[in-house]
Amino acid sequence: MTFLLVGVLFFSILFAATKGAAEIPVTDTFSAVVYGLTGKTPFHNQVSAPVFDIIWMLRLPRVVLAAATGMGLSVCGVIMQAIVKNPLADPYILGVSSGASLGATAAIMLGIGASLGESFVGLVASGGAFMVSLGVLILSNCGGRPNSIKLLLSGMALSAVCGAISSFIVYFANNIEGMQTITYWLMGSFANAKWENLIVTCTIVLLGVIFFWSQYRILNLMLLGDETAITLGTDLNLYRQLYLIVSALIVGFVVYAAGMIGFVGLIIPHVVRMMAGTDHKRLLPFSALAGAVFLVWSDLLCRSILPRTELPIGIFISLIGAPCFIYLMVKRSGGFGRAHEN
Amino acid sequence: MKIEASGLTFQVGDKIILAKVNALLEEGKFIGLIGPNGSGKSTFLKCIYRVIKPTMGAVYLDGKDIAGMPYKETAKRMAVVAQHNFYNFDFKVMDIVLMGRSPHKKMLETDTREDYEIAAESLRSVGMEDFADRHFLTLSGGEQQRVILARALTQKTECIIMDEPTNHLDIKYQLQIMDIVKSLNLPILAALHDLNMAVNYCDYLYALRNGEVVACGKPSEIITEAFLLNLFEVEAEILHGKNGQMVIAYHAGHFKKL
Repeated sequence: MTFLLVGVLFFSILFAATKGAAEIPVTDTFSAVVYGLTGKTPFHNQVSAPVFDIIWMLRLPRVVLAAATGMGLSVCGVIMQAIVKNPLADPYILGVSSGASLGATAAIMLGIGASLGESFVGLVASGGAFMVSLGVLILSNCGGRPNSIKLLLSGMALSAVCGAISSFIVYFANNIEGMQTITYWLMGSFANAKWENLIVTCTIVLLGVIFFWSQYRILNLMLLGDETAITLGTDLNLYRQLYLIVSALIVGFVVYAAGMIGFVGLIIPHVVRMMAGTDHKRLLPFSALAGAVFLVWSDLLCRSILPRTELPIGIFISLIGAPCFIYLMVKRSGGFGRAHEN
Repeated sequence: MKIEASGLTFQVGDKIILAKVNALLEEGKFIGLIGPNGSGKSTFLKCIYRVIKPTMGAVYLDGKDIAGMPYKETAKRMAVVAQHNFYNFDFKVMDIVLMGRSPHKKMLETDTREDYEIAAESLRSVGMEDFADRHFLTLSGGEQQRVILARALTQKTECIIMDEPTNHLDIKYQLQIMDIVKSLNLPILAALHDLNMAVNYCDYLYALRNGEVVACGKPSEIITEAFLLNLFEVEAEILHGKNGQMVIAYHAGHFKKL
């Protein structure tokens, strides 16, 4: 099953790279990719320089970024759902993405953290994401046991605060160009993908996915709660914080690279759970791959749905994601046996 | 296998929930904890299975203080069946039972054929072998509790701790769970609120009130009408059934008027 999904992802990436203003045959696309990766020409199929540039320099980074983003967001969704023991959690809803975008805004507009090196924007965004996830966890623990309502409300509140501060920074920075950049970027887009930035993001996402996959046993225990976990030999406290840091790192870099894209972390794990069950040993890799495939195709749709222009992916995903979210909330109270109120 | 609680005290603020409780769980015995609501039964058990840390006193496993042991170590030696097993996510029955193997696993170790066999065997012994592929949340309360018991058995521990394991179950399932547990021949420590269950299944009872042990001994020795009136503030008479088992018949208020 995992191999099948890897195959589907590979095919999706290739296919998505053939589409665009100029249609390029799959064989040429494949040759260009192989040439870009290895410097060799397969099947003596020499592609022309412009075709190579279009595929390798323009389209492929974009498609790969879409895949990495989908992978990162769905896996972080799975992790956050395990941390808060609630299937309604995801980086966007819990305000973690807003924290990341505040961090990135501050870094871009005010140059905060410029001393952290080349990928400082991603790091500051991760810092913002981490602060918000910690804040949500603390807030929802105030006054008794955390429940889904408290979590969603704390997420919403912190998200609003982060949004306000971001707007404040943008408004008073008095920088028209910066303002435009931020606005477009908040809508979510893969258009500015470049290999240089992509390598860091992809590495972090891939390492994160592998790390979390190796933690499947503890993630399963998390869903049973702290008490049961202790009687099964694991104290979850430390792990929760570690997972929060790693997922904040992933969300930070993904938001920095692709902007705000919501609901992926909510819908993908949910759909995968319906098909493959709750066991994280399967749920985690399947969600990662399904999320990647989903965003590759969504991005392709965004590029081709309107003539001569493209729809920002964040807008598109929110348009289909929000109704799904409402559907899940309604379904929760209507039985289904999958999720109950605490 | 011997569990010894020595001077266990638990305090929240000024409120004393457990006061210097001593108790001993030995080989091959079914030990019951009885007492009215709020008497500290659950708190006592939680101190033993390490979900809460006692304010004072200690729990010794074969003479070793459990406070210094890794959680994995205690999970390999005692399994817990608690009263609320409510999950927000729907696992398959087999997934849940297999989690009983986790104390025996290192970080990256995968489940082996042997683990599956142990899990299947545990499901068989609670009569749930046909439910392995079912979703946990679609099961009835009695079935869910048997699955949790199977998970405890999968831990392959030397003893089992139970906190009101038959709460909210139909009488058929109450008897079923207790019979299964009794047939295991493992040392069992169980908090029970149904006194008829306690006297018929336990070899030894500890009675708690306001966090203190007020009596301990064999059920036939300590359970008397005067004792029940004193501890639970109910009037009851003690009868004997056909097989010689004790039956506690409570006096309902409206009968007393006659």
